[in-house]
Amino acid sequence: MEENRGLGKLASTADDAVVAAKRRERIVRVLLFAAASVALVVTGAIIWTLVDGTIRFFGASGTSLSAFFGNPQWGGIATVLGLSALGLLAAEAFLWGGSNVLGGVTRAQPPSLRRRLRTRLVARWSIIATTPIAYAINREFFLPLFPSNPVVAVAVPTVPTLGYVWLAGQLASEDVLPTRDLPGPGDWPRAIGLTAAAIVFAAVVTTYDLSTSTFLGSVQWAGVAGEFSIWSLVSGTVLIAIGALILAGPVGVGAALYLAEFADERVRAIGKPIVEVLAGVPSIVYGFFALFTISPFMQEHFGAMTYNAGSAILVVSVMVLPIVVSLSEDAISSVPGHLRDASLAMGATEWETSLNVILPAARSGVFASLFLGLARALGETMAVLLAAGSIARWHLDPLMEVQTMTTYIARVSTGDIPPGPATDAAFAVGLVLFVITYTVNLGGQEILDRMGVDEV
Amino acid sequence: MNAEDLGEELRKGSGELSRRRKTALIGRAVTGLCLAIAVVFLGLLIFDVLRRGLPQLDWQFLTTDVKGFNPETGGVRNAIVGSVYLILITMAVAVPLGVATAVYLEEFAKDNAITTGLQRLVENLAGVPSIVFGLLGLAFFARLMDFGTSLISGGLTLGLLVLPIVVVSTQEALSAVPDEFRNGARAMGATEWQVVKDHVLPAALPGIMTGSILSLSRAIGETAPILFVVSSFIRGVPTALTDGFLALPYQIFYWAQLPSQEVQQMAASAIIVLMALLLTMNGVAVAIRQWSLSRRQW
Repeated sequence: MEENRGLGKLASTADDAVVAAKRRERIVRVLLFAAASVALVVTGAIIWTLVDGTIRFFGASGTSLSAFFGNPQWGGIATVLGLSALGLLAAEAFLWGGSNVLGGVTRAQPPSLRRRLRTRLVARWSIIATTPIAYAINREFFLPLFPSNPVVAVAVPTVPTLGYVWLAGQLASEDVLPTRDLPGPGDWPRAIGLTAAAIVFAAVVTTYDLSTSTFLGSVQWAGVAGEFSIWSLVSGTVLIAIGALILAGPVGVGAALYLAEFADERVRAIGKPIVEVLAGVPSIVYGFFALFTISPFMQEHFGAMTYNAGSAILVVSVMVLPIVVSLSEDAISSVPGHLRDASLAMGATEWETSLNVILPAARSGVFASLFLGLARALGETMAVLLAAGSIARWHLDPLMEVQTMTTYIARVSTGDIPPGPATDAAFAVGLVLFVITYTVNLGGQEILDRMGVDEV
Repeated sequence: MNAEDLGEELRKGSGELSRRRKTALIGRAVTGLCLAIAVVFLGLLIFDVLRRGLPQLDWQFLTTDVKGFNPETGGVRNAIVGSVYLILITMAVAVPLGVATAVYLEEFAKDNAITTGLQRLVENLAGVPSIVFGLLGLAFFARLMDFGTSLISGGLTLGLLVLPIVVVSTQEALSAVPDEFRNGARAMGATEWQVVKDHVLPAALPGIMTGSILSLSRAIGETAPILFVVSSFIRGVPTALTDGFLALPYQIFYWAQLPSQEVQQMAASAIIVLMALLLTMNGVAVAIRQWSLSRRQW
């Protein structure tokens, strides 16, 4: 009897402990969830900040949206081209996992398959081409006739879009191809939605642009004459980011290939950490090196200006290199060994194996690395600020001074630009930059996420 | 097929083979060269900075404050102190929040759309350009919360900047802990929180520390996010959270732009100091990793 009572007491204490532990558990869970939602709050805060500043800028400065996005010469067309290419690349990633951004054509495939894939490639990319063509036709020919005509902007890209969707259906229905990554009828709604978005985009841009008075307007930017057009900053950004990617892409993939396929253990053990160290060097240090070492060299041998885009391109490409190398190397090393062995057993040399078997198999990862590298290059500030100067002008000459979106914002902060609308414009520029880098990043992440599914 | 034909075939074959071997060698050399470019660039960079910066780097340079006029008579003491304070605030903001986020996402969250969304947000936040965080700091901390150009504004901005990096590295550390740890504890009747607190977190701690230190070492070299909230003309060392501050990377930027060559050389010396700080932090991180690997329980 006595013992039973003791046991009961013990049990109820244990019950209490369990109840308390469960309560603690609930509290902790809520707290942790709150902490995790900080990411949402921060993203929200960034967007709020940028949008708020942008609204203030447009309100206070009297700059109209159309003037801000107004076009110096071919700026409009080039940027519509760039944006639609970017949009389509991201869409590629969403739709097919991005494993075949370049059409998935490799030399390892039989000629008939290669032909099909190339056809599909042409169909797909013609959408990119038609958007700016629609824009150009509108601007150059229909503007004088009709004040605004979104009809043409819609009509022109529709034709290749329909062709594209039809082709997708054809390829899928023939069912001769062993690949899942060809679009099938189930993808039609997404494909149509996607292209509809592209068309609406083209229509909106065109209508906006056509209704502005800054048609073939002035090229200058910011603060000087109270004129705000973002194109000169876009040209600088594009020049530096794309330039850096053109340098870093091949070199990075080459280095990754060497590390993963050819290098012996000792070289790997030294090479990999060195590439990682490149990622750890602060960007201000790269800027210093560009300004005081690369720039004098460029001046002496190429007749560049003291501040020039070329030296910025060089250092930014080195900063992008670690991203490209490490992600590509991961992708290359994760190619299953039996593919390599089979190719070698057929008598291919190591080089032929790498080029025709390994790289095609690893292409999703390689493309993802290029995407993320591009995002990094677009957002780079300090190195470009020190090396490339601060004259915003519409050109793509690497020997001249340029200003990018990031360095414009930075200049605002260092007080070189008088307070007022020119300062507020930093938020508008920041918003454009944020949207672009976020899109590119999303594309890269999406490819990375789908890589597991896409693996051979 | 007679013997002559066979010989001919063989010769052709071996000719082609040697050509293909040559291509393979060239390909190998070219890709090797790509790696060499990276190595040579790093070497040049370090050599150049040392050549410019070492001569005037002495004890006095480290222990004298930054001088507004005639900066060549001053040093970098308060910039170093400012940077260290910044990092402490950054750590206080980013590490608890980041670790909590990672624990939630990795150990507690159900596999649903909200979790995927949060995960995606964190990953993309890591890709937002740092100068955009600068704008955020200006609008949010300096203006809206009225902290002005102060240490706390800078620290909070950098904290948000490295938060996603801390989250991702912590998640890696947590996922490296084998499931036997969790299942064993669960089998003994532990609640999820007890599992995490008593078993997973202690096992993952070295990994979390390594990741956090590496993230902070990224923060200490960042210039762009603090451009808006740094005070170029402040003197002395900040004594309160709301004081203006100087930071090492900003000082390098500022000096590099001045026309005097002597001051530009000082920027190089400041770079050496900054890189030494970075090396120390990375060294600690690597040491923790090695130590934990040597006495890992799984």
